[in-house]
Amino acid sequence: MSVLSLRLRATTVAAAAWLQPLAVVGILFAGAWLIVALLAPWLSPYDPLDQGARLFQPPSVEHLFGTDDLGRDVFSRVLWGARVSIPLAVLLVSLAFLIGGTLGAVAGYLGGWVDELVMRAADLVFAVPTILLAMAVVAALGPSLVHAVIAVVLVAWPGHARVVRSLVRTTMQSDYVSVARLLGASVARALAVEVLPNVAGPVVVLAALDMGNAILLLSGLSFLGLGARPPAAEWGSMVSTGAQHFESWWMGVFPGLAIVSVVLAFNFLGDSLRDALDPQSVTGRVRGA
Amino acid sequence: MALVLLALGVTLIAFVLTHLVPGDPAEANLGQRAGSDPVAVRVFRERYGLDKPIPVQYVVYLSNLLHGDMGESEQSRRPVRADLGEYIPATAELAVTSIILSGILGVGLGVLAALRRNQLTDQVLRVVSLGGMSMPSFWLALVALYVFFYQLSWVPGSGRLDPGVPIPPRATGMITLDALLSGRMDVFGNALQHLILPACVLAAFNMGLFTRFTRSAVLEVLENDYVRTARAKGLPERAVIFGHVLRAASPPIITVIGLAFGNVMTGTVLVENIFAWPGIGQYSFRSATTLDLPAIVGVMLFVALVYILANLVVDVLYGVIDPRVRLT
Amino acid sequence: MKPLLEVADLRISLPGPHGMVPIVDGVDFEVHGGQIFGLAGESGCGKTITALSLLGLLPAQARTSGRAEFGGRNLLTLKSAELRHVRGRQVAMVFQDPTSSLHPMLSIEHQLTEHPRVHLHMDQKQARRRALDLLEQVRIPDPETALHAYPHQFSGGMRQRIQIAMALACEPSLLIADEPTTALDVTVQAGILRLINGLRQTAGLAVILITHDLGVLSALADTVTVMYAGRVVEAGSTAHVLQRSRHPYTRGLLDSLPHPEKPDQPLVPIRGTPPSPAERPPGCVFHTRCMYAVENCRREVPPLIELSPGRVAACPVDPFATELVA
Repeated sequence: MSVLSLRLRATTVAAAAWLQPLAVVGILFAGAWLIVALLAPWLSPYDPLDQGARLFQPPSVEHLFGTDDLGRDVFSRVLWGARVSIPLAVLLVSLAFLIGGTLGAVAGYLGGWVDELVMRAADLVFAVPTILLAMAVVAALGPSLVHAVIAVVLVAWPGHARVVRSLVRTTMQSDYVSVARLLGASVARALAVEVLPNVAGPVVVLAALDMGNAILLLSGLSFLGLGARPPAAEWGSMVSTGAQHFESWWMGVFPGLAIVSVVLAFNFLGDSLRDALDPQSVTGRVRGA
Repeated sequence: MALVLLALGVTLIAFVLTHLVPGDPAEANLGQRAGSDPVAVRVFRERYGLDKPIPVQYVVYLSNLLHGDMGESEQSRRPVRADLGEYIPATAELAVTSIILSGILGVGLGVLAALRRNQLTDQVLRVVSLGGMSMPSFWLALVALYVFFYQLSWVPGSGRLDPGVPIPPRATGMITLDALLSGRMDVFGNALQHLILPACVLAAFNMGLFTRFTRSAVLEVLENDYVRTARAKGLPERAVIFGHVLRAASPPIITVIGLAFGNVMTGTVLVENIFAWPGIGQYSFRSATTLDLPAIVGVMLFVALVYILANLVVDVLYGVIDPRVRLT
Repeated sequence: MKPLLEVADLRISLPGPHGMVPIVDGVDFEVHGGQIFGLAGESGCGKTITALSLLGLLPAQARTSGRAEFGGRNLLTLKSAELRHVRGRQVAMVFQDPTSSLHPMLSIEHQLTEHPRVHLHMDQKQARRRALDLLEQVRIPDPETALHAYPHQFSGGMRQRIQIAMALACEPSLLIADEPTTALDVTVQAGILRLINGLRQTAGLAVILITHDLGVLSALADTVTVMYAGRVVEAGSTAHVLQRSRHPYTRGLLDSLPHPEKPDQPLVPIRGTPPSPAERPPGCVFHTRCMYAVENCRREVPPLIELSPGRVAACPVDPFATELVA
């Protein structure tokens, strides 16, 4: 049967190449938003806080996305919203990876009760729905964007911890490390040489998927009034305002579309990456926002 | 059991949170008016053992919990437990419907995607499921309401029943069930109309999740020899897919469905708010905006417990489906 | 007598990195009712794929041509609905690894009764009784309890017996056994082989026995066809093929096995390794490893020479007559 499986694998690889369009789309969109986040001050036609225009104008040539309840240009506010959501999401994922990854690596390396402790803590956080925990933390500390970030990091670190831990453990059991041990060579060094190349893949996948998660959660918290406060231009809170002025649909729809496009871009990226690395794996996001 | 430890852990988090509030916990938990009343404060202190060392306080907290005492909501001035009792059935109705919807659709589409691997159907489904997982539920709810209610008037806007439609006698608290039980088909119809849109919005994320997961699980199973054996026996393809392949793929799928309960609870917070659905999602939203700590913590505890229970059920189901897991 | 199964010019190719690769390259053989037909060769020679093609179990990307006549129809061109009626009902198959070939989550009763219910339109009670009979036939102890059990509760040998029972459930006329004993302990192998032999005698079953183990074939098979790199190199009655082998490959195989009566005879392995399907040499596919090769062997594909009725070999060189050629 080995001959058969050899043949089939060849065709599967060929098919995988055909899947790449999604990754390309993902990179394009994510890249575009990153540029927007950087260049928003120059790209937006109006000042996002400027209340000069007529209220509740539908989309037009002068105001591409219309104006809101205070006469501000929605298009500019959506562009500026990227400057809040995207850097914060990047910060979030980095923090979660740093904290979670370190904890996971330590847990995997040391094993024993340290491992148990970290994993139980991770299970604990998993048991509570993300938004509720985040809400509770923000309610305890007081509503602000900083506290929202803290809350989301608290919720996101277990995912990274688990992935890194399992990677460390598999590599520690690998032949390479066992031989290093036998030879008396530094296990830490062997780990670094073996682990790093293997870690990169799944971690990048998780990071990409987590970006989307983070943005959804952050905007969700802001929607509830627990994150960014008005008059800051943040997508979640903009949708919330939009909900109160239902007939002026452009107020809520466009910020939401922005969220969807960013999250979708990162999801495409992460999903395609995961497929390229290991088509059968189902690691990554199970919990949503 | 690990799950008991988990439950304990959650209570610990709740305990820590209630004590994170700067200032005097008694004043914080009693709110403005009562907080300045020395008698009330003293009663509160005694009840929660606030004058004793922290570990003791935790024990007191725990024992109070076991008696169902989760403190009083600042908002409603009622025990949190009573609040929860009132709002849970509405959320349960919504959550269960959405899980059933996303489960059936998600698993079905996942099987389809796996069988049509790498063909157009698979690609389209991939985009659709990733799309479902990328949409913020609050936004989706708004768009859905706008299109189906505001523009098309296919569904009613908010709440669980039209005003004027009588609430059926309370058996389960779930209006659709209660209406069926009391034979009021007109009420049932109306309640269903109100239920359908929020349930669908809530199901979007999980549907995408289940589709992806089922696809992976089924693909992995399809490689196994026993699938070939089933075909070699001349069984019809439908029997092979559902009786053999899906059966073998169900353990991971069920696990995901259990985990998805958490996603649903997260979703209800946002969706109930927009549909004016009087469930614990909306309750927690109100509590969050008014910084009603006992209420939020109470909801968190309850939901975590439900989640733990759901996973317990999943574990049991595992044993039913896969005989290798059972204790002999 | 008309053969039960007649395979003619069977060719199978599978997709490779650079296009379709021929795996089976023009194979002919016949199987007669009530006989055990041995299909021998090393792994990778295409014997399993040949068997799978008969039941249409190859992946969708495979290309098949030729004829496999069974019951007046060409199995290779049947539509899936008709093929379904043949599978499990008239032609059944037993696979090499009984552990992975049985569904881990379905009870033995379920796996033994589901296809009789489909093919023979039995109800559950009748099918259950049949299942009990089958388990007794394959000598599973305590059949009543076994029905409720699951595959992981049995040993490897028992699982193989269950697989055989499963294959016999609808009383097929042809059983294909692909390396039925390879995955089992030596001590258990004999029992399975005895079982298969018994079936041929009591049920009049025809068996295609696929194996690389020539010892098994010498004990059980009535006729043997030897395959190498996708082609037939020798065929005939077991006695002829194994005791008076004509093809250098067959000779080489036998020389590399220990002789039960001459333990001191040195083992002579065939030099080189079998070629992968994409890298088959031109001319006689075995010539690169052959002791008797001559210049012509590289240029022409030797045809199957009929030495006597039913006895063929694809080699013009007679190992009994010629001296060793350098």
